[in-house]
Amino acid sequence: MSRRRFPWDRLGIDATSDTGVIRRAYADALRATNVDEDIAGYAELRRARDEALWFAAQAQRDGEGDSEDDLGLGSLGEDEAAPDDDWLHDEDDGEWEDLPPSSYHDAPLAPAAPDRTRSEAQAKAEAAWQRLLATLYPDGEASEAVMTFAEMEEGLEALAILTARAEEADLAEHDAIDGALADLFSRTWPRSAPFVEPAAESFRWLEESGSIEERWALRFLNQRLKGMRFHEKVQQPDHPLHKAWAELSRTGPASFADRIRVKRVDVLKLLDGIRERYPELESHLDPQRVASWDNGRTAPGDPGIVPRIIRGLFIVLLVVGLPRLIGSWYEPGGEASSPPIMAPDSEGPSEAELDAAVAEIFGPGVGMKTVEAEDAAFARELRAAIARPEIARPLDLARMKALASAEVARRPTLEARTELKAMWLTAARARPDDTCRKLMDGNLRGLTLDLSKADRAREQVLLRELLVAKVLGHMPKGGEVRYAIPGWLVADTLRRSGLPEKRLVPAFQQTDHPDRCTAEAALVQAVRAGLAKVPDEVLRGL
Amino acid sequence: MLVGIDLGTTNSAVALWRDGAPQLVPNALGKALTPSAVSVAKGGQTWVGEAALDRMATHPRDTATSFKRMIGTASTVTLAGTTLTPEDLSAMVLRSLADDVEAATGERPTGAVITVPAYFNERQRRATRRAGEIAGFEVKRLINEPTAAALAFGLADKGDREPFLVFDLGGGTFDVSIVEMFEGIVEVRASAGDNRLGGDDFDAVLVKLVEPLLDAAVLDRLPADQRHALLTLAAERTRRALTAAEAAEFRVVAEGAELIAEVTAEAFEEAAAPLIKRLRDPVIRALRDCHIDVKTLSDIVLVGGATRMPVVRKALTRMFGRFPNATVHPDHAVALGAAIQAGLLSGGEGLEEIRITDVAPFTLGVGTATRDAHGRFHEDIFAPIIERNSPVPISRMEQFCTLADNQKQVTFAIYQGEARDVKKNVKLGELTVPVPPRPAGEVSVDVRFTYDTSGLLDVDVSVPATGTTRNLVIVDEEDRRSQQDVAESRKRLEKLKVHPRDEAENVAMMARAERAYEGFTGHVREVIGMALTEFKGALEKQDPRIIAEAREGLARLLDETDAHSPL
Repeated sequence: MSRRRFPWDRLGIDATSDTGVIRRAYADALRATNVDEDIAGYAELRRARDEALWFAAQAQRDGEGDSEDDLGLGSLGEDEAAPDDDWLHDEDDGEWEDLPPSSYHDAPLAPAAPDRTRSEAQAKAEAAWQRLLATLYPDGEASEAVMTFAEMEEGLEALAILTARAEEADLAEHDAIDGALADLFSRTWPRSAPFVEPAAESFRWLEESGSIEERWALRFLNQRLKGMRFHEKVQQPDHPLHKAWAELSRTGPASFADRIRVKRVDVLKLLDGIRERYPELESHLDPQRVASWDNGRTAPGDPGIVPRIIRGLFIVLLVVGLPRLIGSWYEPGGEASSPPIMAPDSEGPSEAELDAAVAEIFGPGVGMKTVEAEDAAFARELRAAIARPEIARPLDLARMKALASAEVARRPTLEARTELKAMWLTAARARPDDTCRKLMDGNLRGLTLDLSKADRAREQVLLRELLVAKVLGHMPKGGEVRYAIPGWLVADTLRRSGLPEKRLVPAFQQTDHPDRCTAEAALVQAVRAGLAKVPDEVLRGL
Repeated sequence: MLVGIDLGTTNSAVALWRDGAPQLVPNALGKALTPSAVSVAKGGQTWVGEAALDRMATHPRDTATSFKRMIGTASTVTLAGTTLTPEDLSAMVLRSLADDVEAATGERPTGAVITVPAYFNERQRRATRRAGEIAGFEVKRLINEPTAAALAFGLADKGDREPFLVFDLGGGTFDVSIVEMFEGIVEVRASAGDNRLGGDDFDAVLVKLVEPLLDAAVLDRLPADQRHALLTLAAERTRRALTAAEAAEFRVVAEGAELIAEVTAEAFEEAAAPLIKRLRDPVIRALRDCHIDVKTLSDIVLVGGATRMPVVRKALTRMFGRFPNATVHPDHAVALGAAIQAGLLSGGEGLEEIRITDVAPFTLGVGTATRDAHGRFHEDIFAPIIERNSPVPISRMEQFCTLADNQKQVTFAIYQGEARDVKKNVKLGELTVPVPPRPAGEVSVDVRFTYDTSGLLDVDVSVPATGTTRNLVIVDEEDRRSQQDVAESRKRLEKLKVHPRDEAENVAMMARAERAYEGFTGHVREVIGMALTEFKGALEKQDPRIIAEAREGLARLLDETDAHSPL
């Protein structure tokens, strides 16, 4: 009997794309397991089942019509080539415009609507979406101008139609409208300010506030919303900080009398508070007056972090490519003819061969035993890769897993990963071919990176760090990652990339943009320069 | 013997696995549902179930209902001078269910599977378990209500089922679970919910809607708790009437005056809109967590009495773009499912192939502190270790490191919830471990969370540098205390004199007659009063035949008056 590899060995079946067989095997294995006593075994069994179902779905998608046993893996390589061609084709696709999708169903956050038939009510809602867009993008362009009263009325009316539609619609459409509006308003802030409150009430946005899963757009909007509420309240005479607010709103520097009249501690509390939470509110205050209070601070302030509202304080990044990562090292090389998972294993590599391969990745002195002791899950995958290097070179596997580790890693491991990525990007960009692009997609299989001797040694050190942090064995969940880039980082990235803002933003948001590599490399440099200040989520997203 | 119990906010039920099928056990009044209500009179006389609920209108201060909503909190109620915890009250209901099983089978049940809302947190689960122990059960397992309902739904034909959604809106809690069945495996994919949303909230909305229409002069004369009890009872009746009609009468009798207002279905629907909106979030969250498209759900299964409301059904039809499946009995499914789980645990025939796998409904993690770029400390940041909707049992480890130079110990506060700020989550316990004094960040500490199928969390903390380990079974501390508590609670409850089960019918009839007496005015009231006196006289004679006769006569009269009543 041939030796099988994970997940099939755990399920006790041969590789198959028949989900019925997989489920049956899982059910039998589950019945034979006492889950309460063998928690790790149960977790592994679930993982095996999920992976097997994933392979099966993949095979079905890629190899429609192929024989069941083939799993469609043989043809995967060729299929992959086709979209790549399209991808290159798109490169000179003209100017990118800062415009959201023309239909709320096409909004990036919204799930795809499977059927495109529209009812009358849907058509009306779509028309309202267009009207709302028109008020937020006058003349079809992003605008910083304050909205006129007429525009506001028009927008509110359109919004009312959309929220009413959402109330009536099924869950999928409700979710689509919810997501599209949140996305739109966060992009067009502050012009969208008058619309946030009614939308937040209708979609209960504040309920999500503070949750660990709060959507990015809402994290931004909810904070602004709280700012608006604070702004309203602080203008009431009975608010404890009202006096301080009134003082800071006066024009001209504060006089000696002002300093006696208003409690200094209140003024500074207010200033620090809004700077931390609602930086946009500072624009309501008189800059001269604020400066005179700021200058009076005895304690050394941190002048470097006085936030300014600049356009592009945040931009949304969409990182894609992770979903492919999960299976990508099981893809055969272009010339491989037999599906690798089915192939019977020969003897398998000797201990010495294993250790040599491991040492190549993690540096001299590290052997398979060490890897096993540190991270058993990764060790198993690595063993498989060493046995069949034609499927995935062990080093490629380690590199891909290092990239994928962002989902679970924490600082300082995240920082080590960032350094690795910076190193690889530099090397990839030095090559004339599409290496960089592949790297950005998270697919390192078969990539050549010409690292210097010193870089290789550094890479080994960093990979060791990741190994010890036990993040290499993580099975990536995949999916898109969105994150906000703080304004100072955007500014630095702009400077380093030499790209105009108009080109930089789309380069981040479109996976097929020609400037993507340049932009990402500049961002990674900027991140590394200001590493301590960079939020975890940016390190994760990179 | 192992039984399955649905300990509900409004009603409870008990079932057992017999002859290859789950069977409900009727109570002394022959009904499958026992109201979760307890009433105590001075001197310790105690009523549980139907009779207690009937005393609600007459003795609101001595009667407790909906105590499931308080379980897991420190609040208590004092009924006729006896202070009782929500666990005590639940235990009394559980004990009366045990009596019913004993009467039906001749055997006292020793073990129980008790259902809890999927979205019950750790504390609420622990309190429920304790209630079972006070009632004298060994609680073999707590299972989630929608999971139990899914079992009852799915095991009807044992066929494979694509993922379906269980929508469980009970008297006080709301759960959504997405469940799949294949090859005898019942797999819960995700659960979400709101443990403070249920039929009771719809009653409150109705009261708020109607109150301004009633004669304020009469209402204001009533003591606050009686006013609340009367209005709530009337609201529940009106809400039931509205399931079948476009309009219903809201009727309260107080101080001999009859207050009436008409409520239309439309007005009720409008007033309930904010509650209906709250139904949507958990559904979306559950679907998102298991990456299932709403269109691929094979069924929307309704459970819980509150799903009978047309306003809820309408909202569901809109949300899912199709009609929900109302084939399971909304009040029985959970108890039947609990009995199936009981059968599974005791190796019941016909269940050999069945396995259930469930998920942890909440994220579990520890509170951490970090230093930001400006050197400021940010404390109480939630670091998840087990993400919500992970399959249980599960064991996960995370590594943390020291934050200050020469730090001597690390304290881990353990939390459950979804908020970034731990203060908004439920704190489950705390664990401190000594660490060798070294520069900040150099000492790492491993924290392992293990969460088992009954929802018990076990925390292991170890410091690799010194080999020190600490372990905390989250229930430890509370359990030690609660073992005493259980004994004390039992003693306290023993002082209360619950009517012997064979008197239950008389007790219930008496309470019902008293409620009817309060509920009518004029001539009808007089007639009921006379019948009541007659019945009391019959009881004193202690002749079973005379009592039975008088009871039947009284029942006929009450049936008649009820039929004439607009209630």
